[in-house]
Amino acid sequence: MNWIHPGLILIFGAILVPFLKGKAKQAYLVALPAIAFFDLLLMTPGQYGVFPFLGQELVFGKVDKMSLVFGYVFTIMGVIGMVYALHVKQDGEHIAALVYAGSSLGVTFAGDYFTLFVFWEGMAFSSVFLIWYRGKEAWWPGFRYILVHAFSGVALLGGIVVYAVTQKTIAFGPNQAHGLAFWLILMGFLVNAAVPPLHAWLADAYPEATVTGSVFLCAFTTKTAVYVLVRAFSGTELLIYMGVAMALYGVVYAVLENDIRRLLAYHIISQVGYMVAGVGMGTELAQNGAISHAFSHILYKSLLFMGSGAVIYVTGRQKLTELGGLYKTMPITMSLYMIGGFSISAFPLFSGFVSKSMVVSAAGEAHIAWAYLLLTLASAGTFLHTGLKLPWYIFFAKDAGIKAHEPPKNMLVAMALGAFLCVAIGVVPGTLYNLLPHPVDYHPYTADHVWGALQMLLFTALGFFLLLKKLDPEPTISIDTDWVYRMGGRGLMWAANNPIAAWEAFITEAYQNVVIQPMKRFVALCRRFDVGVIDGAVNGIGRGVFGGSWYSNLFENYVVYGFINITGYANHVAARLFRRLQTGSVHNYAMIVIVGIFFLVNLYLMFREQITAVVTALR
Amino acid sequence: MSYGKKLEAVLENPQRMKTIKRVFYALLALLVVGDFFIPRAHPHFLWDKIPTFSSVYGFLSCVVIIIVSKFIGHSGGLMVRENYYDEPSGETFVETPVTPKDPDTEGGHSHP
Repeated sequence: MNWIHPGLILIFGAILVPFLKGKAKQAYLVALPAIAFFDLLLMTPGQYGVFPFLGQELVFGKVDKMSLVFGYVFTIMGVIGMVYALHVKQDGEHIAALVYAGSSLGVTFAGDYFTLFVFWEGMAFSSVFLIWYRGKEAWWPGFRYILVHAFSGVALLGGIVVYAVTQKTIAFGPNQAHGLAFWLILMGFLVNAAVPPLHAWLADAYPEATVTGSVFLCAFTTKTAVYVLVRAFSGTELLIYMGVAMALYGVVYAVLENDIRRLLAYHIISQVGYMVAGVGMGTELAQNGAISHAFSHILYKSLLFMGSGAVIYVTGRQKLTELGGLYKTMPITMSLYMIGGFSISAFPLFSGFVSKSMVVSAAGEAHIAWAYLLLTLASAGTFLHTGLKLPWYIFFAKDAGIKAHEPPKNMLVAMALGAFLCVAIGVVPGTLYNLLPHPVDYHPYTADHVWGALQMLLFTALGFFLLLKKLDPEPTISIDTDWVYRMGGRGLMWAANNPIAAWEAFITEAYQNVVIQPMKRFVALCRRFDVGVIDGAVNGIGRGVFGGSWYSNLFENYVVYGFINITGYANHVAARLFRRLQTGSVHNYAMIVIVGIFFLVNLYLMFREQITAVVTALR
Repeated sequence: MSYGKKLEAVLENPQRMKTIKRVFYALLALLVVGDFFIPRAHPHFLWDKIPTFSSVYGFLSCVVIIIVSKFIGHSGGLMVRENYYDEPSGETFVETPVTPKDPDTEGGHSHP
């Protein structure tokens, strides 16, 4: 049977969306990711879609257990997300979501770095529309989002080029390179995995996306990054430190956050920290943990985003300080949200319990005590915010008196689907474990694990209720590393307006005095020479040759005058041309300088041997 | 009675809330006492064998996270007013054109 790329089903399938109407369109939107899912079920491991390219091979379909497990969850997420977005009228938003999900699948099945890069960019440029469709206020966050991802893409591409040159291959697998290729590719991946300090785009942009868009966003970008990290950087010790730091970083910011989706966004960072740490440990258990946690994370995090999105959709409010008491009018939303909350908090019988604990246990088996303790501490923070603080201030606490109701049916159905899977994975972990790349010899439901987890969680709850007053949300925003480019940009504008403008004025003035004025004086001198000396001499000779022939007159008029005028005129034109060079614009000078340096370097490279010979001879 | 109303009937009733609280505290006590009898399957570290370690660690984690984060947020200056990033009025970028003196108007060449 021919192999059909599941990502291309979504990407090319999206083309038909504008031509369909009503129920047919709704059915089609859900059917596309479902077809991609069944396409995955029919696949057998192997290499498909291989094309020769510049002496290398482009591999569109590297199918093994690792790419399949991510493929499954991405397509399942596509179905859930599409059901959640069925009420959305803009075709563009559906197309962006489909292309985004399709590109994620493209990255997942890419067997070489070039294919990976193309789909990597496809993800960035399709997902940004899920932010921009929110409206005017989402323009700048979306713009910052795409700039950061352009940076990630450039870093990745640069790394790939160096990798291809030094390693003589573009096959995507464990990164064997050292130096530049290693770091550039790693940096490209870490931006998408939202590893601090390269994480700020996530908390900046996701809460500004459309209600349905953020459900897609929270699932794909960071998890494809986890996937490529597992493939290429497994066992890179640095990632353990980064992952644990991430897990705590997100927790701290979640305490401070007032915007409900931003709080959840910080908990994406925190949860992805477990996965990154798992990648860093690199053992089979840790890899399995990272992958299974990515799987369940996609499901429960999208459920949480769907729940909070429903609240925003119905009430139009997204700040904890403006919400409260919604459980009376949105009890189903609240209950489904809580299933997501219990899952992310790793309650027994919910999905987080069977996946997160794998990573923590991997730290235990590798005897990395500090990672084990800090990851456990961070999981207390997860329950504290996502399972307690957020639902408390949205659904309970002081009634904000909002007239609310349950969201549209399709939203509830999508949430119910997600909630069902969260519980299913928690109750029957074997199904997920069977999908993992390495054989699993891990049993989450031991008496001491369940008992320990319950102690952690319920005593966290005790702490929450005792310190409730301290946790009251405050109407503030939190400064994060995006400060650097948000305020840095302003600093650049200030610099452009002040020191650089002053410098530019100085340069202009200097050119006036040093070049243009002398040039003008020279031109004036030429003219005086022309009029006084040459004309005088010629006239004198003309007069001397009394009654001189008409020809000499002609000669004087046309040839000599002409010559003189041409000289003077050429001078004038040259002055005009040179003046144009002296625009006083700094970027022009900079370009000339750069071109000059480039030229000199080239010159040096061309005549290196001769120059060296001359230098040695001089010695 | 709808689901929402049922929930409301429970949660808005002080008597019922008292019962819920009692059950919660009883659960906590049960977890602490039970931990002395739970066999340890795979203790990774020394503290995994200490009874009630998870309870204490969970409670301390919660307290430490809240206090440290709020301290960083307030005293570290991370929490700022909501319009912090809005462009302050009057400081928007205005392009100031640089006008060099035009040398063309003087000193030109006159052609016969």
